[in-house]
Amino acid sequence: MRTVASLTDDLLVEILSRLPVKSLRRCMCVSRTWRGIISHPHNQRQLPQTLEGFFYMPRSEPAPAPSFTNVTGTGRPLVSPLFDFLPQHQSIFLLSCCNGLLLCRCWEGQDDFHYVVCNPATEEWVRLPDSINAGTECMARLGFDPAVSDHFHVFEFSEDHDISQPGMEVYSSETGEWVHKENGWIDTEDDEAFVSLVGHHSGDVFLNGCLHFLTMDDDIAVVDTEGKTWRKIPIPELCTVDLIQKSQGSLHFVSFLETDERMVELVVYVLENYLSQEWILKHSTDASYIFGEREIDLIQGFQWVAMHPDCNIIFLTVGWDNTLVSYDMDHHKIQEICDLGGDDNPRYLPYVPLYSELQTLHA
Amino acid sequence: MATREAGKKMIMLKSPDGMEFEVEEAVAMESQTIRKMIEDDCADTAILIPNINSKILSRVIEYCNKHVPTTGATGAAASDTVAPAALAEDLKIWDAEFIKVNRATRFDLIQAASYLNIKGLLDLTSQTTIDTISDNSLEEIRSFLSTKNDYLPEEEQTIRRENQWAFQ
Repeated sequence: MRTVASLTDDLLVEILSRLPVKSLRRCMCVSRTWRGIISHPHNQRQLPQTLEGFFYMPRSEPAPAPSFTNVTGTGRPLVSPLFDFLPQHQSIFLLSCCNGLLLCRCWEGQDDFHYVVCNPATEEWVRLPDSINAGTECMARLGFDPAVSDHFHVFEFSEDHDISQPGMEVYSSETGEWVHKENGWIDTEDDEAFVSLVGHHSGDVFLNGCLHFLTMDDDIAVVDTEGKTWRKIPIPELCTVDLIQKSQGSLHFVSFLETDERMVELVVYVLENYLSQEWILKHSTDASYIFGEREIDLIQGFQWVAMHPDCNIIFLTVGWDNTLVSYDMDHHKIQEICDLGGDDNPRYLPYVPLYSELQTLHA
Repeated sequence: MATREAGKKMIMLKSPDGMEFEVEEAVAMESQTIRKMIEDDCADTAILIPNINSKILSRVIEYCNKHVPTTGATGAAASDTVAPAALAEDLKIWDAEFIKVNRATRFDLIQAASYLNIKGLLDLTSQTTIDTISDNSLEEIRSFLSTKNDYLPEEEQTIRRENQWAFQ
């Protein structure tokens, strides 16, 4: 009688698709054959994905084409940042990256742009209709969670107090429309408390159906896609340049903190219990370990890049040549990945690919 | 189609080695693949189940018999009187016994569950493999699944380094 000594590729994929991403990555090391199966484009759609690299680009707009580096720092970039699958445009500016989708401003002329949401892995895209703020460079962010829905939301905030309707515009791919929401953060005693982003670069997190970002007022502003929940979560430490990220399912806060003894420490907090708003100090270490022989310069000497979505690793750039380094909190290990060079103040967007095709990206 | 017992519709399943199994339609329909055939009216005569030998097919039928909701052939006496929680516990114990088979049989069962599209059986049969992959070293995974390490040494070093975080 026939017996099967090993699983067919299809059944192996069936089984691997039930594993958490960490176990799946270990499986890549089992054999070349397995790696081939796991990274085969046909199978990738079924298998969980993790951080593959970072988009980075100058902060000013319109800007030259963005760049992409693999998280390993080696090999051909996973994503070609030319975005030549998009319709013809003069330049492109990446605003937000969320679970595999990118929100971009596509510039067609000096003052003319529109929003595009695209998936670089499948080269699908959709152009959004103009919001009421058409022509104004607002802060705009993307909310998308494929575990919940194939639909995405775009949040647009008008920071300019002169415009007639300050507040939030939300686009839903389900309705195909923008809806205006009154600003629910304004507090009666402090009417300046509207969203002022820290330089638009400190990470934005889409978690539990809500957008989270840091404000100038040392808060994390939270709003849901319906514009019903408006909250502020106080940050755990008053620091100068912070980063918020989602890692291992929880909100994390990363910063450098100057202590009383004029020492600088890296601190990593986690909001394990989201509802309690109680930050737990997860890790702290002497900043000199991270900067090595470089001068610890918290103003110009470093940039946050990301926290790994599936483990306790922080990515940042240090020094004038923007050396990308990773810091493994669990093993207290620092590793130089590569020199990104170039622009002295880029912004970074961590990228986890999504290989499934989405109806919502077909207008 | 032959009928037996009080109006229960019966279905004939045939394995490629010539064995025939008469099962209640409800039991056969635990398999989404067979359900679709029945619903599409492709099941007038016996249904040939390719690639699944009689030994495995009889085990699959045993599983479906046990798991068919309410009045399954074997579960009829118990299901009316026993509370759902106790029934679920009973099923769990039964499943644990059922899956005590050698590796070759388990892989055959995974294959059969996948082809016949029986989610519960696929979950049950693949769980051991999932546990093995999640908890063991690369060497143990390789030996469990009879897969060879075909990496060149330097290649393996690179892939290990790139995925170092997953080993922590």
